Formats: sequence, structure tokens, C-alpha cells
Amino acid sequence: MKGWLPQHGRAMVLLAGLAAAPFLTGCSNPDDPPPRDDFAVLARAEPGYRQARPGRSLHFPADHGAHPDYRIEWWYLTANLRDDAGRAWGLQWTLFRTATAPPSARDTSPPANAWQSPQIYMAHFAISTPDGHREAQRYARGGLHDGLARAGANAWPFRAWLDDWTLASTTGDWLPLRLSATAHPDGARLELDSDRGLVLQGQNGFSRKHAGGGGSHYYSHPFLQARGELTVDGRTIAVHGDAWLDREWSSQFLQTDQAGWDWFAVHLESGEKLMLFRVRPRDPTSGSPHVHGVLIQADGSTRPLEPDLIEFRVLTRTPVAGHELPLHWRIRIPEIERVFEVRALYPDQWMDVDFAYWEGVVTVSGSGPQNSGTGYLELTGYPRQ
Amino acid sequence: MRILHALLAHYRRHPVQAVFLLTSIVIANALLVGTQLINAQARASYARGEQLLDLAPIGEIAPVNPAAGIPESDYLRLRLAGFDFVVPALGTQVRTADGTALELLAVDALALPRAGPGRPASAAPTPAGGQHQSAAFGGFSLPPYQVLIAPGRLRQLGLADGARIRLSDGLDLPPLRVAPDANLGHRLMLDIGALQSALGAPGTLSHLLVFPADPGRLAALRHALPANLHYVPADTAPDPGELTRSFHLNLAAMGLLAFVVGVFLTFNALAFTYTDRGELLRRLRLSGVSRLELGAALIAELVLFLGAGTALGAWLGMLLAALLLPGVGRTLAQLYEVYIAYPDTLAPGALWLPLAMTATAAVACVLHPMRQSLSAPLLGRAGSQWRLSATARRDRRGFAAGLVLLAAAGLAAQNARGTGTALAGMAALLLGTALCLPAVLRGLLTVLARMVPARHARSRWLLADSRWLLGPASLALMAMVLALVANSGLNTMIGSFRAATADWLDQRLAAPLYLRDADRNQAIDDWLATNAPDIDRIDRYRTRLETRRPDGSAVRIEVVTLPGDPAWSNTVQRVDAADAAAERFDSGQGLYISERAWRLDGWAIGDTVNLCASVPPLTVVGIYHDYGNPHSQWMITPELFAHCWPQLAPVSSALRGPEDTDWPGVRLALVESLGLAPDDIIDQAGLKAAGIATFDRTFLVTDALNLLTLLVAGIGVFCAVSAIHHHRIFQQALLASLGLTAAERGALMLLQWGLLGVLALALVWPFGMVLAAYLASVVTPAAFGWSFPLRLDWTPFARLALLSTSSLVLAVLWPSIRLLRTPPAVMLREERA
Repeated sequence: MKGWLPQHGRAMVLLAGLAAAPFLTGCSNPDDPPPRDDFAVLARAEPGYRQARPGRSLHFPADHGAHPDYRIEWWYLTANLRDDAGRAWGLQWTLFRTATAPPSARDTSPPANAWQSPQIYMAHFAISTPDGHREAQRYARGGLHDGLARAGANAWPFRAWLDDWTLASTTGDWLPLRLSATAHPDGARLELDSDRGLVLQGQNGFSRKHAGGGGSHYYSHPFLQARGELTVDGRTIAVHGDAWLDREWSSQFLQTDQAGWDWFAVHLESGEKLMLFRVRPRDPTSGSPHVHGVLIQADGSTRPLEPDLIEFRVLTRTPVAGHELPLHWRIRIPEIERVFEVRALYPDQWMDVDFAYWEGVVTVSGSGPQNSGTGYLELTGYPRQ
Repeated sequence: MRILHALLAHYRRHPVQAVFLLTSIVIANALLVGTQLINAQARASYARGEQLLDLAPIGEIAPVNPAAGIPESDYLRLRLAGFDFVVPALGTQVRTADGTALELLAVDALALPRAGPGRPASAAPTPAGGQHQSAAFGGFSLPPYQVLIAPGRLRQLGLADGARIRLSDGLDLPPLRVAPDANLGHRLMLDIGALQSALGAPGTLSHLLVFPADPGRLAALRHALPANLHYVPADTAPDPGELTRSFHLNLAAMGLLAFVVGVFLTFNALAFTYTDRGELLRRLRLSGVSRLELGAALIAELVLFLGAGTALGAWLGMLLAALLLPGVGRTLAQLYEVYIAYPDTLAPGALWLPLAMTATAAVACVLHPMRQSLSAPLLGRAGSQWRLSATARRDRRGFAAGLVLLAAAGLAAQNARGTGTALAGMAALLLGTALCLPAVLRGLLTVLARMVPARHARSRWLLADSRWLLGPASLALMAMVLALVANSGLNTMIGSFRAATADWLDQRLAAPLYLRDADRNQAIDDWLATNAPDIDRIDRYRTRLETRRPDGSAVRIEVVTLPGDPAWSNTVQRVDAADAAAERFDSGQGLYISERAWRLDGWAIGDTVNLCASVPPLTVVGIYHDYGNPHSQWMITPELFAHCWPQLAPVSSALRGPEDTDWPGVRLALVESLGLAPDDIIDQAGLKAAGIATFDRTFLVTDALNLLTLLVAGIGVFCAVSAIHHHRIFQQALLASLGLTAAERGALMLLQWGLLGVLALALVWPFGMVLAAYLASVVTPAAFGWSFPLRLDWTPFARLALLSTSSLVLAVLWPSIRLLRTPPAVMLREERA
């Protein structure tokens, strides 16, 4: 059960895109019911896809690449960065893949041309700057045109890309990685390396989602050291800091009675990494949030946290883009004797993409290096006021 | 209020007069509003520019060789290099199973741009961009796909939402989906993968749309383009507004013509209702109603009619515009490759001008008759308004004014440069003709009367009474003549133009077969060398060139080639040529320009033009007819073309051989042995048919409006004559008391109106000819840059004569039946009452 929720959040964004299809001006069919919400899509069970199962061990480098037989997949990188003047910056780069037809259907009616590829990609790229937040979104189909594709993910040598937004190994090994993305007049170019390995989440890389056994395959690299430059309004800034990569693939997520989540990924000054989330129920009176937490120790070993003992308290709600968002928290985890305040570094880190959400840099403050650090917070499913 | 009530009570006794007045106002409005709305809609579309949903491309990347497509890998490389403002497109025209031509535009909606970093969504030019992207996932981009269509186009095709269109090759397009707000106009839009699949043509792109980017990135894009591609900014493309200006002016002119016809009829109707109520007005004045009160009541009555008439006219106009807009859109799409939107609601702003014009015209119409009615002497019964001497004087004045207008028309014909002047001249010609009509008719009747011996009293009376009839009927006759002259002139012009185009096509299309698959030229040459050595294949090249007119303004010119062989050079119909033109052309020292380039762009024989940097300036040595082409064209030798554009492959080629060649056999053999697509081999007849079809489309809407004008004039004349005739009771009574039977009286009436009709038609024919000549030699050359000889054709006149005569006969017979059944004593009593 380690760390599955943020991935749900990420999957939501992609799937929400699919669900929103009938909303095109002039294309909407009044007969099509609107999607109930993002989670309804995430919870959709579609037959014909390969299902994530416990017991399947992950294989590298093969599992760095795409898994087209699964419905959903993503490569999700966040980085907490500092420039030479000590100012904090943030970077988010995400590549989502979704299949529009199960493998069985692809066999019976193969695509007539590269445009009809059943693999569709979406990418988000955002920079949090001291002067504001910038985000971009792109879509592409995964079909091969004369040997070229606009988007894809090769396992070896590793390269995940959409147009010129690329995360790729720079040598014959998995690490170091290079991220490069340009969304004029902004861009990023980061070298990512680490002396520590991957972290398999959940049970050997299977993250359980339901009591019934559903879940996803999931691994992370929370120990990446980033160095490079950001370009903002054509101006280049040298930066360095901590980065966190998540990889997950599955074919079905979540329950229909859940409304959204609050997700925290924290780089503590002690060298530990902490991930916490809580999924809020659609009807607060019918149940309590589903909480999950894991402490990844500096050596890469994981310590699952007892959900019932994690205490979340919202200190301030801030209006952002028409939503009242909890951007200031106090979190207590008595099990490991941690108490800290999590505060959004900049309130405006709103992802104004097709299905908007808040994702951005947070500072973590408390007593001592075990209670202080930086991180990323993701907030989804808050209703517009 | 009581006065207004008394005034309106008149219409209860004579409802036909109310109908007549209302119809006249409606006629004045409907077509004017309709054409104004169509033009306003088109102008709004041009102002918005080329749009894809609500995104506006700033240009396109096109293959340097128009016949070649864009390899998909070229597009992929641009995207992978970060040019995210480039979107692949496949534009094509297909035929449905029932032969309808469809313009299709396919795009990859997933590649459409949206607001990015540094461009917060709220400040982005397309706030809805994100919606398009999410839409990309929906039915549009995923099986079974959708073909987006504007509601107007759907109606035009007679299809229902969700229907599937079957193409001529038996394949089905994805289901139609109505997209009211997508600015699709005439085009249908679908996913690029779906279209490639429907056409069985994977890997084909026609062009890449380029969306706004900063100048540095645009420059980088241009730099990154491979040699086979070039960037064409949208602002160097011909401005659709300029390209189609003449077309819209013609539409506006048709609307104005209908308006003028309506104004004539309105004036006539108003004059009638006032004269007819002369006695009522006098009695009201005698009973103490002041002139001011009466005037106010008359104005209130006018406002009432005007309000109802304009409302009805505007409604009909909007209906008409909505009905005609898809037709206009089709013409613009197929003729100019300009796509306008078909909105469900038309811009109401366009209503103000027609309404203001109607109100002004109504005031102008009412001034004279109202003043006359109000200033009529109170004592003693008012004399007839239509006193012979007064109407004769009026007609003389009209004649003089008409002559002035005709002289102005002549002057405009001599000096017309632009379409505006040409159309103003045409208006002067039409109005002048109409104004001269009563005096000419009066003169003709006088001459006829002199020719009739005194013993034929009945005939003499008939002629004298006809002259009197000219008083009340002249305006209706003028309206009729106006519409008839316009109709006959347009018909003659269109007929002549069509014949000239057919001749020109016969001469131009010298080769029996044309091929457009340039990629297969080598294979075709090999096949010909083995199987048909007598057949020659000649390459035809074409490109577009951005250049400047002699006055310095930018223009895009088509450049085409003409092989030196005399068999080919004879295919060019010259308007004019310099000395030794053919020799200078063949030697590469001169070029020919199309008539449009001469008339509209300003080049003339002897001018020099720059073709490209590697060729010295060329002299214009000839001007040729190029009917139906909305673009100006230059013609050069293939050698010069190869010198300037060595990288361009031929767009098509032509096959020629001995006369006894079995061309259908050659065509079949080429298709079967080389696997050429049947669509890529076009025979002469097919090309001619396509050329004539283009021609017919050009005049489709003009024709429709022309017919409508005639129809409204017919209705107007019918109303006018009916109204006049209702008030001929006294004459009928007199004739009856003189012993004439009902049948004799009926015959006399028909004879009288027939005489007026025939005399008026006698005017229509020569003036129709003059108008046709004016359209052929002044308006069309100024509007389109095409001139052609006039051909006389009697058939339209015969049709017109039949139509107008039947309209007159009907109009006379209907009220006459009542009159003829009424005993003379009752008639006399009614008249006195």
C-alpha cells in the first residue's frame, strides 16, 4: 500500500482528459453523459487490458520503457531546486501514456496508418519561479511515421519523450538522466544522477489499491540529484537540488466514492524521504479519508507508516484560481516522532491545464533536520468556489 | 386616432391597396437585407481570417512542388525539434457517390497549440485552446471518428447529424457531427488518420498549419525547413476580401436593384392610396381636421405600414440569406478557395443600413403625394390627379432626367476602372431607361393614334385612354421594365460569357489526355516509348509568385508554362499582342500575361517584369483570355521556368498524338498497366466539363437573385395593375353605358394593357442588349478581369415576354371579372359614392 495515491492523482489528469472528450465546443453530443468526475474514470474497469498483479517481479531496464498492454502509465519527475542566490525553484515534468483500445482489439482491427495508433501521450511541464508559475501541456499519438514517433518511451537506451520534451539516459546506463524541455520562452535542462538505486514501492513493486487485490506496478527514484539550468522568459538560471521520479503502470484504479487527494513528497534535510497522502471521500459524512505514508530512509530502505496515526491539520486555506486550497498544513506522525509545518512556497502553482490541479514546491519546517526540508504537494478534486 | 381610423377604414373597402403597399415595402427590403446580410457575414469571416475551430494559423508550410505532398517524417522532425506551433493537415476534395464535391480538411487535433508557460491561459489568444486538446481525445480523434460539419452545410447536403457520406469509390466517411461554433463554413473537418484511412492514402500530408509564434522561432522554423518545403505567411496570401470584392459587389448590386424596384412600387402604391382617398381627405378637412392633424395621421399610417413591411421584409431577407449563404459559400470555396462561416444566427448589425435606406426612401416617396393631397383645394371636388397635361409634364421631366442618367452611364462606361464605377454606371443605365419609359411610351401611343383613322373611334379612344393610363401606371411599368431590362441583360451577358468560355476551353484544351501524377512520368514515358511511340508527353509546370504590381502593391501571381510547339501556342486566345510576340515569347525574351493581370493589376504590353533573380527582366508581349481564373497569371516558356525554379517538378502533363489515336484505349491501358489512379488521368471532355461547371458556379447566386428580382417585380406589377384597375370603374361604366358588352370591354382592357406591355417590352429588348453589352465590356472586365464578345440570343426574351405578359393579363383579368359582372348603374353609383 505504499505510495499509490499520488499516482492515482497523476493518472486522473490523463484519464480526465479522455473523459472530457465530449466537451469540445461544437462536438459535444448532448446524448453523451458528462463524466461523473475524474475518479469515475480512474475507477473504470475496461476488459481486455493486462492487469497489474502482485507477484510479478519488475525487470530492468525493460520496465523503464512503455507497457502498451496496460491502459495507463506515467513517468513523473519533480525537482526542488535552488539557484546560486539561494532562491527556490520548482520543476515538474510528466509524461502520461494511455491506450485507447485493449490489445485484443488492436489485433482484430489493426490501425490503417500511424495516426491511428492506440497509444496516446500527454505531457505536462511546469516551472515554479519566484515570479510566478508557468505550465505547459502537449498531446501526441505514439504511432511510427517512417521510423519516427512524436512520443514514446524506449526501455533501452532509456528515452521517454513527447516532441522535444525528453527524459533520457545519457550513457549506456540508466543513470545519469537528462531532462530537457522547452516551452517558449521557458525551458529546462537538467542532469539527474544518484549514487543510490531505485525504490520498489509496495510489495516488491506492486502497489495494492483495493482490498480486492487491484493495484499498480510502481517504482520510484526519490534520491536523484539535479543540476542544470532553467530558462524563464529567455533568461537562463543555473540551478541544483533534489529530484524525485515516479514510474507506475496499471489498467484500473480507485473507487467511485472518492473525491480527490492531498499528496506530499518531501526531501528531509536528514537525507530521508517522506511520502504521505490522503484520499478524501466524496461524502465526508460517509467515511474518513484514506491515508497512506511511507518513510524512505537515507539508505533507500522503506518504513511503512501506520495510517491511523498520521494527523493532518489544515492551518490556512488560500484562494487560488477560484478554489479554496489548503496550502498550509501541520502534520504529526507520533509513530516516528515527527511534527512539521508544510507551507506552499508560492501560492500560485496552479496547473492550468485541461484538467487543472495544484502542484508545487513546499517548504517543510520543524525542529531539526528530521522535521525540515522541501518537497512537492499535489492537491486535486477541490471544488470551484 | 379617429382620423387614423377613418384613413385606415379605406383599406377595408380596398384591401388590395394595403396588400400592394405592404408588398412593395417588403420587396424593397427583403432582397436588400438578404444580400447585405450575406456580404456582412462573408466580410466578418474574412476579417477573422482563416480559422481552425477558433485558432487562427498565421501561415502554412507547403511543398515547393504543389503536386508533391509533405512526407510525414518532415513534419515529425519539425515537432521533435520543438516547433510545437506546426500542425499537420490534409486538405482535399472528394466526390460523394452521388457526385457532390466535398472539401475536406483533416488535422491532428492532438497537435493543436494551447497556452504555455509565460502565456498564462487567461492572456492566451485562444482561451479555449485547452478544450480543443481535450476534444482531441474524444470522438473526433478516436474510432469510429467524426466528420465535423457546419449546420448550414449539413442542410445544403440534405443529410442528418450522424449520417455517413459514401464516397465515389464506395468507401464511407466517419459519421457526421454537427459543429455549430467551429467556423467550418463549407469545409468538413475530420481526423487526419481517419481521412488517410478513408482515402486509402497513408502517409499523405498536404500542408502544415503554422500557428502564432514569436518572430525568432518563426525565423528558426523557416531556417529548419528542408529544401522541398517553404513557408507561406497568411498575410501574403491573397486577401479573401480583395479577391472576392467583385463577387460581393455584384451581390450588393442585385440587392440594390430589387430595392429600387421596390421603391418604385412603393411610390406608386403611396401615390395611389392618396389620390384614391382624395375625396375622403377633403371631407375630413371640411369637417374641421387641420392640415397638421391630417398630416400627422398620414405619417402615423405610413409608419404603421413601414414598420410591418420592413419587419416582414427583414425577416424574409434573413430567411433568404440563411438559404443562400451555403450557396454563396460553395461558390467562394470552389472558385476562390475562400471559406466563410455559416452561422445559425446572422449578424443583426447588417440590418441597420437596409432599414435606414428603406426609411429614407419611404420619406422620399411620401413627400410629393402627401404634399399634393394636403394642399388640394377644399372647395369643389378635386380634379383627377392624373390629368393628362400634368402627367405628360411629369413624364417629360422624367425623360430629361433619364437622358442625363443615360449620358452619365455612357461616361462611366468610357472611364470605368473599378467595379464600383462600373456598377454605378449600370445603375444609371437602368434608372435612366426606367425614367425615359413613360415619355417614350407616350410618344409611341401618340404616333399610333395619329396612324389610326378617325373613323375607328374605338381604337382612338383606346389609345387616348392608354395615354391617360400611363399616368397612374407608369411607375409600375417602370419597375417592371427595370427588372426586365436587368434580367434580360444579365441573361444575355451570362449566355455570351458561357459561350465564350466554352470556345476558349475548346481552344485551350488541345490535348486529348491530361495526367496529374508527376511521380510516374518516367514510367509513363517508358510505357509510351514501347507501346505508343507516336504519342508525345508535354510537361506542364505551375507555381505561385509573390510580386508587386506596377503601383507597388503586393500580389500573388500564378506562373504557368506554354511549350514552344505551334500546336500548343495556338491554344492561347490573345486579347492583344506586341509585334513579333510569338518569336519574342519563344526566345525567352517576353512573356504573356492574363487579361486579369492587365485589367486589374495594371501590367500592359511593353512593361517589363521580374520573374526571378537568375533571369533578366522580361517584356510583356501579349495578353490572353483566362476565363474563370480568379488569379492573375503569367505565361512563360518551360525553359524559363526551369531556369527560375529548377527544383519544381511538373504539376501535370498532357498527351498528344495522331488524330486516329484510340484515346479511351490509351487511358485504359495506362490505368491498367501502370496502375495509375483513374482520377489522375483526365480527358479533355472531363476538363471542359469541370471548366464549365466552375463557370456555372460563378453565376449561380447571381442567377438565383436575378430570378428573385424578376419574381418580386412580377408580384409588384401584378399588385399595381390590380390596384389601378379597381379604380377604373367609372371608365367601365361609361363604356357599358355606351353599349359595349362585357366581353367587348374585357377585350378592350386586355388590348389596352397588352399594348402597354408590348410597347414596354419593345423598350426592354434594346435596353437589355445595351445592359448586356455594358456588363460584358465594362462591369465583368472591371470586376473579374474577363472580357468576351456579346452574343444575341432571342430565347430569354421570348421567355421574358411570356412571363411579363402573363403577369399583366392575370393582373388585369382578376379585378376585371368583378367589374364585368357589375351592372353599369351600380358602377356609376359606386363611383359617385
